[in-house]
Amino acid sequence: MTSDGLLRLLLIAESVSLAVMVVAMVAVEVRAGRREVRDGRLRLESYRRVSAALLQPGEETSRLAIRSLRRLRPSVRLRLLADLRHAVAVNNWSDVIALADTAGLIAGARADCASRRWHRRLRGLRTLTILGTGVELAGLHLRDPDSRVRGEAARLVGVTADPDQVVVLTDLLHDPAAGCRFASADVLARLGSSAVPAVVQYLGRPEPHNLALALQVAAAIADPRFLRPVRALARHGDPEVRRSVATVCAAVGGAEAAATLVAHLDDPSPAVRAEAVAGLGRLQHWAEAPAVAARLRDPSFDVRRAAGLALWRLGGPGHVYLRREQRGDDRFAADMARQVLELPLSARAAG
Amino acid sequence: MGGGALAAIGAASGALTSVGLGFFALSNGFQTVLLSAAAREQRHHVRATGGEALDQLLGSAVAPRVSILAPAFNEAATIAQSVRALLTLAYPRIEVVVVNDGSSDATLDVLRDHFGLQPIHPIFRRSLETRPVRGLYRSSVHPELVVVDKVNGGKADALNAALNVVSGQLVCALDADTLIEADALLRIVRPFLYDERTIASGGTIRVANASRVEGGRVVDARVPRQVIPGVQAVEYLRAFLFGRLGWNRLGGNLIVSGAFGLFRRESLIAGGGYANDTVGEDVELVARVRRRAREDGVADLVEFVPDPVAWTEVPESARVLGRQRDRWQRGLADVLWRHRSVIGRPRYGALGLVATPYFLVVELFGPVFEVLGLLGVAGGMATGSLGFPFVAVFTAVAYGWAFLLSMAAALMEQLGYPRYRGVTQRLLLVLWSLVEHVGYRQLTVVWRLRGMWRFALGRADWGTMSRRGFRA
Repeated sequence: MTSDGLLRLLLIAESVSLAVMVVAMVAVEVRAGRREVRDGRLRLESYRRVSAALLQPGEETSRLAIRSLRRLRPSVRLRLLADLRHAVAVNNWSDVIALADTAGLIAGARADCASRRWHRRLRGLRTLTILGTGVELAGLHLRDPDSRVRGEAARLVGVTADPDQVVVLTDLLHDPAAGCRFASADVLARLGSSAVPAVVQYLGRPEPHNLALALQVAAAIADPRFLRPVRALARHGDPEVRRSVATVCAAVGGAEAAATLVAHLDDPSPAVRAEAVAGLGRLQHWAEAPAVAARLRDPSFDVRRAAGLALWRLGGPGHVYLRREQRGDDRFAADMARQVLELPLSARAAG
Repeated sequence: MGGGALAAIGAASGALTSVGLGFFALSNGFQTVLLSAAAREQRHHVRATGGEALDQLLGSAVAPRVSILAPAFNEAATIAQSVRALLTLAYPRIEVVVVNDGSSDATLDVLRDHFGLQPIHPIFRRSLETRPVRGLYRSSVHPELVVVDKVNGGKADALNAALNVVSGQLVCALDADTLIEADALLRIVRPFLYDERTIASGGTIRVANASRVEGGRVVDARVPRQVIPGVQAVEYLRAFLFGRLGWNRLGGNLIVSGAFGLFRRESLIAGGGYANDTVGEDVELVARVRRRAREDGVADLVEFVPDPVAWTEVPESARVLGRQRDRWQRGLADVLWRHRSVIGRPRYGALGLVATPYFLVVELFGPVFEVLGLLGVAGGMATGSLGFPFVAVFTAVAYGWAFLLSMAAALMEQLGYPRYRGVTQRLLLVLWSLVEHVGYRQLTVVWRLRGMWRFALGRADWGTMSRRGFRA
């Protein structure tokens, strides 16, 4: 074929592709417009039917609600149930699950969870998470080969808060995938006190595992039950772990926590010292004002800054030390003390 | 003219035509590779995010803190609305740092009046050198708002001043006139949550010129009906939805738009912050941070995320657009010159072997090859070595291919992340996709050549960018 002939052939191919694209574009748009109208109408109807079935339970109202749910596209049905989740009282939610089950939604989600394709398993778990059911599948998928699926399984555990599954959930704190680690920590922090035994158990495990992240969760929950295992980690070799220990102590508070913070004031890592000194400020542990004031002479700017602001938070005793340091012989301590004392009120309040 | 001269012209024309032909094949061929990579990436992304409950992240106690950096220079008319829109972004742990970069208008007064600013003493580590900071303020009504008032030093200097005071692990750099969709931060943060190697992520920028804006948000997205902003709407879709999305898969994302990008703060500080002496500070920053990461043997993942959207106002006149493209070209030339030792070096992975060579040949020298090709075709026609029918078919094939690529971008938008709704909007996109390659593209070639010429002369000015303002 000559180059001229080839070019003409290419031109024809381009023209056909172009025509197909324009037609596809218009067709998709027309279909989307129609769908939007239809989905909106059916969704509203379904919302009304489901509400009626919840308010006036009965065979006829349930039948109509199920029929209306079945007429919805799966994605619209799921969005509707997600909205209902926020609107329906907890006691009535089991009725919604029963409707969704009869409408085939839960069976469909379970079938998706058994799929070989990761995106279908993900979709199935997301449906179950929204509905708040199927926790027995979560345990299986916490060990799924796909990290996104494992992360979603963690969220399902969060919805149902099953104690056995929560223990398994802590394993994800040292998952190789960052997304799983984040999902696990997020869910554990949301679970609050019901996650404490599992996290305490995790903190006491032999290494290697992700102590820093577990401590971040502990700090977010701030439960006194964490103090014992956390204090046991005060001399850990990793500065990030020791810094997190200080964060947990500052979040939990109390005499034991303050003692650990004071011990951390002489830590070789500036990040740990800064966290400890800031923690004493947050706890307003004025008895340790001299130890905090000593940190105004720290070689690290961050520690000096944290010490200055902590002294301000300690109130009267802290202010006395700030003024003394302002006139002291250490230039760096005096400068930091001056800067803090000159802070406008709003800045001091913000810390 | 003698036969020898004609033969020489014919030979030169033939060579130039081959250059043009080669360039079109290379440019469009690579774009087609990018398109197929982007299509796979989009399919993967849509599957991974379908049915995702974004609000799960709201209220998270372990989500990384995000600091938004918003430099402002003489933005008194719009700053209050822009800042209010930033403060209402959906994200659990947020800090907004506005830098008043020596504005000569009432920008600082407006901020003070609207947000009850209280002076705070600037106790912060000056990790990056900047022009002097005159004052630091915190809002008494929104404690998450911090305002830095400093001597004018340009956008890069303002961003560096903000970097010195932020407290977040992640920083989001914005232009003050960028309108971000309310859930955009929840979306753009994903790469940082899912992969610890991520050092930067970028979102999509779209054209807001004809769209209706309320309370700092685009509430009715429309394709502009004017030619220049309309064509740019298609251009932006192509650049982001298959350009940068395709680069994700090829591992060579070199650009995170200065108008909307999220960075790991420690990487920015370690890289030395934004460069003051370039007009392409956003490209330069990514190139420098990635290069440094590669040299230090640490992670350098830069991800483009297609679904977080920021809207911007684009130039509506050819004069202003020309200045912008001239500046972009100078910025690109500057970045490639600064990082010339990266080009073609296996040590830098995809950055050295694919991205920088592509940007050098196609993006930087593309206008030169295109003009040479057109000259060759003209010479060939003049000497009779090329017939009009051949030239017409060749031109139609070359530009038709590019037209198809633009159409594919519009289709990807429709199938993946639709914002423009209605058949009229779609047909407008088709029209502007066509116009982009007939007339508009040739104009940009001229502006880009001018940019290269001015770069060679050492010009480093930004030029004046006049804006009309959003449609309320």
